[in-house]
Amino acid sequence: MIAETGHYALVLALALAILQSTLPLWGARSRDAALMGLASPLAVAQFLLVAISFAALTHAYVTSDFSLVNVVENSHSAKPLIYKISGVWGNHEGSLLLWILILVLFGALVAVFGRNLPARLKADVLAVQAMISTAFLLFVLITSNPFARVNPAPLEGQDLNPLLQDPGLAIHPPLLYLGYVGFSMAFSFAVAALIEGKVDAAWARWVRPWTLMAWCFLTLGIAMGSYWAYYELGWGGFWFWDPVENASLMPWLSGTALLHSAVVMEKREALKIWTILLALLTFALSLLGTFLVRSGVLTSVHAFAVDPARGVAILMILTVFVGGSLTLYALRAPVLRQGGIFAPVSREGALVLNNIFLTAACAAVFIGTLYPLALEAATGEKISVGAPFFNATFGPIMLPVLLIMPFAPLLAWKRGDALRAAQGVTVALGVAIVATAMVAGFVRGGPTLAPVGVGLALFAIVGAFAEIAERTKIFRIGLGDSVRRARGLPTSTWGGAFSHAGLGVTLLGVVAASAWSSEAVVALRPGETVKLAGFELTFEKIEQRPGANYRSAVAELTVREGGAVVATVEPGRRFYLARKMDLSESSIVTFGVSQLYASMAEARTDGATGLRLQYKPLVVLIWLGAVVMAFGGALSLADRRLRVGAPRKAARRAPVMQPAE
Amino acid sequence: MTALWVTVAAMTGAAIFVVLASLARHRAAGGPAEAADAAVYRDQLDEISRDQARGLIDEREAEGARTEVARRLIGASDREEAAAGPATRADRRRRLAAAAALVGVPLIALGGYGALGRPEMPDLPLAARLNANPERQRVVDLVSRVEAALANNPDDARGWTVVAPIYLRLGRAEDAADAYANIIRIEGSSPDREADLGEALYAAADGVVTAEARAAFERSVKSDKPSIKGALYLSRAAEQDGDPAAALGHLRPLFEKAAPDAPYLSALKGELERLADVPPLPMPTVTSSDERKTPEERMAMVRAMVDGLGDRLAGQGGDIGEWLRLVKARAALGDNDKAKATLAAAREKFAGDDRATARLEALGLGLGLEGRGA
Repeated sequence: MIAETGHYALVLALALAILQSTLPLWGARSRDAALMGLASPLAVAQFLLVAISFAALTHAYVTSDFSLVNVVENSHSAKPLIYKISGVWGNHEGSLLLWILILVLFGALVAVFGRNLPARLKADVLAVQAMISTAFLLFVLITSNPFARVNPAPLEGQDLNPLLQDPGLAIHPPLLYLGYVGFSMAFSFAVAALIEGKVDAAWARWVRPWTLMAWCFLTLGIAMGSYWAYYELGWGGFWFWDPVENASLMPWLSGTALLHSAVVMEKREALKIWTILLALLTFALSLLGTFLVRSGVLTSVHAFAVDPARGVAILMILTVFVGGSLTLYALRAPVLRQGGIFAPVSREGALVLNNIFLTAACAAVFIGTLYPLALEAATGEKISVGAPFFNATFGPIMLPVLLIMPFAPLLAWKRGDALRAAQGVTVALGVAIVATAMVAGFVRGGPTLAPVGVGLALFAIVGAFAEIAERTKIFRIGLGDSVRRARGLPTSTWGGAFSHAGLGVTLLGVVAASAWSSEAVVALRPGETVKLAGFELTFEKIEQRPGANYRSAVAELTVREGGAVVATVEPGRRFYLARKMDLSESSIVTFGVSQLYASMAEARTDGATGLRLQYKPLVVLIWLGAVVMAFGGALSLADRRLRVGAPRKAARRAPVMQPAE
Repeated sequence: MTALWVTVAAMTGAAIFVVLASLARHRAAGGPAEAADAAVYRDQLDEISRDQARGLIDEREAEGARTEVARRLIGASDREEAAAGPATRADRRRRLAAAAALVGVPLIALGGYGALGRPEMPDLPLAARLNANPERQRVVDLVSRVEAALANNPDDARGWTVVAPIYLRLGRAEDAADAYANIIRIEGSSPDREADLGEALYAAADGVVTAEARAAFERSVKSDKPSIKGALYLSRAAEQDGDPAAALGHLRPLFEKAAPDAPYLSALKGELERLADVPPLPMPTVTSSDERKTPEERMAMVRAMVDGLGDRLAGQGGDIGEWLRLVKARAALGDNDKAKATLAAAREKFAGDDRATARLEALGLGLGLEGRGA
């Protein structure tokens, strides 16, 4: 009964979504508060129903109810509980349900916390959100129903793909989806603005927190996915330029651009049309990302043919939302009045440059990802676009972004002073040059350009705080005064600085881990020792260890540095019984921010154990940088001015001249 | 099931209530859209003052910014006044919305669920299913105990021998195949073990004799005491390859060697008859007048039909399916002599056709019209 209740709740949610996508819109056109007022309660009800549905599916997974096809195909009674739960979204149907759950959660958040939104904007926004959820609910119910039943029910399930039986699955997709779906808010706001024919600073102020939140989650989601791939896939790579990864990188790039252009719009009412377009494109790329990953288009173009209904539905949703919103854009964009003008050398100018390069980078990734698919679809020829393409395009495009990044915050709005800005970054430039020289002089090996990469990363990290140094007049006035000034700075300034620094930290990790990692691929017998990057690793033994739904062989290696034991690594291989899959389980030891990475090769016949041992200096910085970026985003989000509309509070505050707090 | 419908009704009712309650709460009036915009601009003015107080912008900049924001604020205020239009036809709109909720929501939800849902199916959580069937629970417990023992000592042939057939019965055919492979690894090959392995592989491939399974079956019939099961499956493999003659070739020696009271004889006959692949007899249309007939009269009617088919085939000829059908029908009616004659005639007629000949021979053997005891 619980499963069927969940199924009905999902259909009922569809009925409410249809009402929510029509009545409030009509209300907004006819200025009818009663109809507009329907949007909020409907959004909340829709969220509750989808939540019931999701809970019902989770219940079926936890209790191993194999009368649901979806559970049979992706679960197993012997699987540990956490993977039974995370298995709910470890498959096409369930992950779409999670996608919808997050979508309607955001709708409900707007309904509950958006009390200060103008009624018409709110009605329009929620109606557009409901259109998206209508499309997805239809898609799920018709082509990918997680509640499809099977009678008689099999006694055992086929288990979840062992690659996904990892804590990563519990965290990574929800984070990523919070990001993807968060951009749907920017999309809904943009479409609502186009319908209203009115975009202004207030609009930007309401959109920015959603974009910022989505961006933070997406940043963390991508980093989490990268780290997961790093330790799970067993060969120590952290970014593969795999289409699935690119699918999440594209909305991140355009979302980053959107975040910056929204600042310009909020402060200066400039770049209106461009900001709207970015909001539309970012969500379009999120949709594309979701579908590329979930439809199976990526593994092969022919996956479309496997389930034509699914493929066609996907194309229809993409066409309707991307095509529809762009048509609306073409019709309504001319109505929007352009705002403030600015000189080329100004904060706006720098942000425009940022936007140009970020969208160009995004376009490069887009071409690299989709061109092979298009080519195969058109001619049947298979080509593979890999790291060389992206290194040759994405890298050079991102270079100016990193170079301009420290300057931009130092430029004034409207008309900036390039010379003063340059003076502001002298310290950062000095640090970068010294670091480059030292690395080039003292570190052996690695590509010639690697020291420059380190310099660039440090330039970005130190330069990120140039604005704060400038505004607190640090070292130019007393330390106490500087601290007071620092406290007075808006948190968004700190947020921006941390985000920019985070990018530099990530870059530093990427450069170091790519340029100076060392590797040994060996076959060892118990008692043998191998040397790697100053460590001595002794192969102690190999033993069998049974698991809940797998058998595993684990090798034990003692790590010594200068004769003293510093760690033990235990790489292994697991054989998952239900899926008959053999997987490497790597073992990682962290020293500071560097890591020793050990993985076991497939079984050999000669009694020795094949091992791949790697030392990756500073590799942790890659993900730490992303965490710092997201932390910066969260700081920005905490800035009072970004709280979703605060007219009432503001009105109370207005008469008092606020001192710097 | 009743509980489900009560829940469904409650959820639907709640959903409709949400809409109706919200409609009732609101008075049709212009929105506060413009008022909120103005509030944001006031907030911006406030921020400019703060920035100035902190020394982030100088007075001239602050003044410029204030002018600009003030200009926008005035614009927003103007729009606010203009926006308060009359609320005409609001009642009609609300009635329509209420109708949409009252009719549209149940229509979409119940209609959609009616098309997609399986309200008659209860939840089937595994634990409950196992509890409901203690026999099964014992089996599952036993299997997990043996599995645990085998994990530590994978060379325990007895353990594998215990679980292998249970796996097959539980539908875990691949595990069963693994288990049989282990038995062979530990105890060496034997015709029966190879046949069991082949059977598990066959089941794991959903009833297709894979190359791997075929290899196992072939090993099972190689020795001087060939496995009967292996031969049966080899015949099925040949049949799946579309080669009934080869399939028959596997079955014929079994049939000839079998003792008259051999327990597998009936299974063998069934297999032979299946191999003949006789098209099903067309059901005679029963009219109301037929219903009143006595069993004898009906029998006569069937006989007449069969004879009619026989005459037609003898006169105009027919395809192999019809001949097979005729033979089978005559045997079923107890006319073994006629059936034999028909079979002989058919074999003569299809002499050049290997497939047809094999099917006829299989039918003859299966029905006991030819070969031993015929």
